[in-house]
Amino acid sequence: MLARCAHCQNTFETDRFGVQACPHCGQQVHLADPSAPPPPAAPPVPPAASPASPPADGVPAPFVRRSELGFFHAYVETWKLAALRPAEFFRPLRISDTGSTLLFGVATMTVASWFQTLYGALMGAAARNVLEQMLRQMPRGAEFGNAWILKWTSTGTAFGVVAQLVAAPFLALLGILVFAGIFHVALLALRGAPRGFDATLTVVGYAAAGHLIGAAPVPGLASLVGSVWWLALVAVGLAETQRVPQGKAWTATLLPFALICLCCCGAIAIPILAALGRH
Amino acid sequence: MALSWRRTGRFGVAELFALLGLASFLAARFLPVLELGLVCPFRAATGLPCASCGMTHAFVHLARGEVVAALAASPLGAVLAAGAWALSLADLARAALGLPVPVLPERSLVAAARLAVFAVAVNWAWLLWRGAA
Repeated sequence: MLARCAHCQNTFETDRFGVQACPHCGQQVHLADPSAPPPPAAPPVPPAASPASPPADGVPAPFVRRSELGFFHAYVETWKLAALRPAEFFRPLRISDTGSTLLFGVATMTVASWFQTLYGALMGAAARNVLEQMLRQMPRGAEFGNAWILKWTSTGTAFGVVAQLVAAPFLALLGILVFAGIFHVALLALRGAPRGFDATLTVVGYAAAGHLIGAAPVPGLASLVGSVWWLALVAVGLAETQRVPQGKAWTATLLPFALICLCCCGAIAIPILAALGRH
Repeated sequence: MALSWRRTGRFGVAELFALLGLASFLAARFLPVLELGLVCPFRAATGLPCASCGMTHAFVHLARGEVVAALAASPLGAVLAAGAWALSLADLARAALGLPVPVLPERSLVAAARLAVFAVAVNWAWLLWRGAA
């Protein structure tokens, strides 16, 4: 028969009832025998006194209940939980709501990207004004007031802004899926993905909450802080959602970046060492 | 543990990846992606290729049926493109027919992930060696 582990949610084949170890996560699972006599009825407990135990498949994020709570309220509640209390948020989170996860991540990253595009366009316009003023101050510079370079920068910037605004949601979706894939491969390589790809995708989608700081009016720095925050949320979220130690989750999160850094250092060091060896 | 099968809805994450794979083929085949003049920031900073250098060329060459040129641009890129497009077609066909999703045993997934990390390292080493040669 097919059984489902209450801890990692994976299914496995078994031929007996009772207590046994899950082959995926190693936790003890109790499979109740349906033919066994029912236990004596317990006295009814008042609802106020009963402990609030989470559903077996996990707790849905507030964003999943957006039709009930309202889109904006559900979004803000989810953002606050994911960004400010990630361990508490990710631990009991239901991992089957991948559609809502993707929508939350895409919406967050798109808003951040639109703000960054706006700041970029404003800074570009300011740079153009400076260029025009410099041309006016040059001898015969006014003749260049209508020059192709100014037309080109204006048209190029306007086209670039529109293209970035339109492409932002698609790039956000692509980014979430690609990074979820990369982190999941790293987790698998470290044997740290007992709950499957849906758990990793859920974390990467909701961790996009960190990117919203990129919408702050500090071009460059805000997006850098947002990216670091996002990485921290991913690491914490992977540990809680995949039920793996923090060290393994951080290693899987930083492994792709560490490999790039190591290869950069190696690639730069090899020619230097070779040059030193010649002298 | 053997391969198992899981029933799923018609459109899920696997189908989303399949559509992305299909979109990558269409972009590589019909858009002038090589004429955009995109520069690898790692190569611009260090003069050395990054692990994914040559992948755009590999995708474009393979989409045009130029297998040797694709392999020369990036062996891993060519394999990745072929694998992604084949899996995309297979998954979209599976979803259209309403068939269940094959689920690999965890041991196979771990082995495949380790092989992928190793393949990226070998491909990068080859790109660096080719650049130095």
